[in-house]
Amino acid sequence: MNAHAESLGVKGLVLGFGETEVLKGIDLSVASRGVTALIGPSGCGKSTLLRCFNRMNDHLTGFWHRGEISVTGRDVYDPTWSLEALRFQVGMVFQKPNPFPLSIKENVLFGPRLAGITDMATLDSTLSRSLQRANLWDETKDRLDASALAFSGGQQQRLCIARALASSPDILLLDEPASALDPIATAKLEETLAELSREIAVLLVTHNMQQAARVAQRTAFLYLGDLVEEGETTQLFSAPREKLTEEYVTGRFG
Amino acid sequence: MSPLAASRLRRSRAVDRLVAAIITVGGSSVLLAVAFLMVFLVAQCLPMLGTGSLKRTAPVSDGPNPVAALEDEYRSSVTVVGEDGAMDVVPRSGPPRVVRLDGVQPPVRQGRTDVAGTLLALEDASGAIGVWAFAAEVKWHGEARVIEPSLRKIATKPGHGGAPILAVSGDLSSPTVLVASSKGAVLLTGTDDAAASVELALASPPRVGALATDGSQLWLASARQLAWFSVAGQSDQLLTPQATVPLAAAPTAAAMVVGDFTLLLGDETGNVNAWQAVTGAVAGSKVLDRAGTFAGKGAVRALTVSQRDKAFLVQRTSGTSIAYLTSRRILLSVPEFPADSTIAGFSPHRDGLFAVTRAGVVHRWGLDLAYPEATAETLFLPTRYEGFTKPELAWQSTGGSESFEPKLSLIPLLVGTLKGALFALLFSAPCALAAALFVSQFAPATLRKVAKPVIELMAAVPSVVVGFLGALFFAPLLQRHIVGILALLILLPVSVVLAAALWQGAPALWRRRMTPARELSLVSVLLVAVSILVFAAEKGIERVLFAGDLKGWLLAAAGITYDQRNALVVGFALGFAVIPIIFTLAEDAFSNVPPSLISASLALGASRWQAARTVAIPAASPGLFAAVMNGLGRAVGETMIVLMATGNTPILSFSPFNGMRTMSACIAVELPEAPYGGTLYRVLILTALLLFAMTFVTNTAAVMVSNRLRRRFGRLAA
Repeated sequence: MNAHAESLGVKGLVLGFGETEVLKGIDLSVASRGVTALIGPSGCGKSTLLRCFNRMNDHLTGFWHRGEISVTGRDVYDPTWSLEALRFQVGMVFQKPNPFPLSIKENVLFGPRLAGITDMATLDSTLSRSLQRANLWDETKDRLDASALAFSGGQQQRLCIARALASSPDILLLDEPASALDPIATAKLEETLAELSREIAVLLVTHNMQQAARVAQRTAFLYLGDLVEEGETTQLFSAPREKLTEEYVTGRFG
Repeated sequence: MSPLAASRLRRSRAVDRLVAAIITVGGSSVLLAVAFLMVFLVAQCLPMLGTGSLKRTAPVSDGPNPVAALEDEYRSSVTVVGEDGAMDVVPRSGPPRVVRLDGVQPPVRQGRTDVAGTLLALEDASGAIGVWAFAAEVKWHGEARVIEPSLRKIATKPGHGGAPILAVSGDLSSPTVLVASSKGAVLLTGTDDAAASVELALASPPRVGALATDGSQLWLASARQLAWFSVAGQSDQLLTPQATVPLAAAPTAAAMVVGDFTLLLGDETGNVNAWQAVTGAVAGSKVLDRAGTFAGKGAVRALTVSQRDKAFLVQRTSGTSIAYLTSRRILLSVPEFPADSTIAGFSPHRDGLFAVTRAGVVHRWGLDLAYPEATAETLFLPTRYEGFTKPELAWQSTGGSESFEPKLSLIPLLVGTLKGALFALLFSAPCALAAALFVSQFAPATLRKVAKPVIELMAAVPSVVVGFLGALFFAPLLQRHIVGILALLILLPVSVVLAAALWQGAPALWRRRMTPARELSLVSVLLVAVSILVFAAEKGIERVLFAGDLKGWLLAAAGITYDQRNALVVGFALGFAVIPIIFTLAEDAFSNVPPSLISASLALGASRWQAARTVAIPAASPGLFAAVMNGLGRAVGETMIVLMATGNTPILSFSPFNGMRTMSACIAVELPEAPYGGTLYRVLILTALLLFAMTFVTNTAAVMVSNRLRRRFGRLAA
């Protein structure tokens, strides 16, 4: 586990695609433990900000940025740090469950196999540990070879978490992971995130302010490419410093 | 419901029904058209399955003791020359018309006709042998057409005291007659004014003999020996046979098959053997080779050959049948053939058969032998044709003369088709699949926008242009730079892989700066540089490795010949036509892979290549397979390019340096000149049917494998 108190950080980040400027100068620091929620109305740039940390924006047409992006204190664009190694350290879960049409086992072991791990004992322990951490072990231990596509949406999303955890990342990025799930599956997912956040940093983009209030220790509110306010979740929801934040959390726009 | 809404609903329902009807008609007519095409092709091929038929007409009586008979080409009458020295024109029905032949002294002792049905040799009471020309003149009496056969004496040869006339042949100006003699036989050549003869020596008296049409070679068979003589340019001397072979059974009948290559020899055991004089081991020598046997019961009484093709009539004591030399098949038996017939013959167009009995009854049949040259064996198995020393697979449908034996094996065409398609795929499939992968998964979006339409534009180049460029520009280029181009085929991929491996060792800062666009330009520079280097070193490579001449080296080292229009040229030209088809379908298959899966693998730390290998390629594999199969279908069916760039030589060779003839090109070349309903026409239609079946099987296999793959990887692309 890294020694830095800060897991993720951006300084003066200005970012855009082609002519469009999406983020307009953001400073943010995310602690190495706990859940941090990014909230804000659609199009405010919270997903884009999330994708900076594992450089997923690099694959998009016209992407450019200024400012610093760091993970565990290290610049993500450090030439000695390969993209692949960065992504082993920063796991990501997408909005819609996207398991591969492979077995549970092969889904979870996708990352370790990419990393070239072939030792069966290591792989087996990674498999069980990842599924346990994602709270999926009890449901899957008897059918590890079943197709991942036979599972429910909530299970698939937790499988995606297990898949991301198999590379032992220090940080987990989640991009509206519960938006396609029903309330019970959402509750299970949130429970899982809460447990995970004791060991690693979790950055959660969510549309759902109740969810942010339920799971996140800290919350950042973005609006039109600016970071309006960042702070303790309870404080941000109960006594926001900014008027814009207050209007958003009280549901006057969004 | 308001009246307005009700009427609107009615109208929309009517439109629905109309559109549904139009779509149904359109869809089913496409299916019908395909079905019709299939039915048409099959219907055109079916007649080849038949073995032919005989249609007997009522016999007509003529005077007794006939010596020779001929039929005119219109089959209007059989002209019988009797012992009485008269020519009886026997029509299909009604009484014969008797015409006296001037200058014949009855009784006529013997008569013999030639293979072509135009010459008749008669020995009469005077002891001389008269050679008569047979002709049938068409005359019009008002609206009625009358065929008037006539015999005209064209030569007189000295007789040999009743010694049997073995054969007569030659043209009207100088006919040749072969007569048995005490020493063997005498060939009477020359004209009446300048008579000549060749004495042929044989150990024992000849029983049967045959003469080539041009009189240049002849066969004589005694009881125990078959002898072959080449008599071209010989005269007035005693000639011994150039080749002999002992016979197992005494010969009873001989006939030369039209084409002068094969002698049919019937014997007393009932066998008919086909003998050919083939080049022997010693230079200039000939050996007699038995090229086939038609076995049967009962001694052979007589052999009669067709003037048109390789069909012949075998009269045995047990019965009479018609056989075909090329296919070595007995086609049909003639059940009502009179056992006491002394003369038999085919009609000039081989569409009829006649026989005359000793009592003078003329029997006639209409004859249809269907397609005797094209049997399952000759089409698909090695066949020994005249002039070949062993059974071979050959295609040569037409020759210079009427007596040409068509060689109709479809195997060289089938092999040529598959070879062309295979070489095209070897070149195009890797190129097109790699290009599709690059464009869809690696290339920057701006390049993708340009590359896809440009590659697809290749499909718009008319194939005649591609064929033209392939045949007239690329083929000579390849011939000049064969070493360089072959070297490039190996060195270009190798250099890219090597460069990629070296790049791994490059400083991290350089690697970080690499973008797909820069990568592309660097690779292009590399490819151009390697090409320039290879062509600069080409002569050197050829000198060091292949003694300065690859083609000579290939011929010396491996016996491989080099054709200018060869499979490599076709591979490139046809490949050029196939690339856009495979590319488009493969690119679509890659584009249909859900981006979320690619993102998932990238986010898990996969490199671009790992994401392609583990996710994109498996997910797209059904589409990729279908793309290659479609390319194969196009390559198999493509006509214009192969027509122009293959050289069209129907040879059975797998060498990349030889040409070929594909089924499609063969149809294109030969069908316009194939007489409708003829054997070649039917065989070409069969070729088309095979081609149809091949594409059908390819496509069906493609769909089946594709579905299987889809079940395995399917939901990746769901």
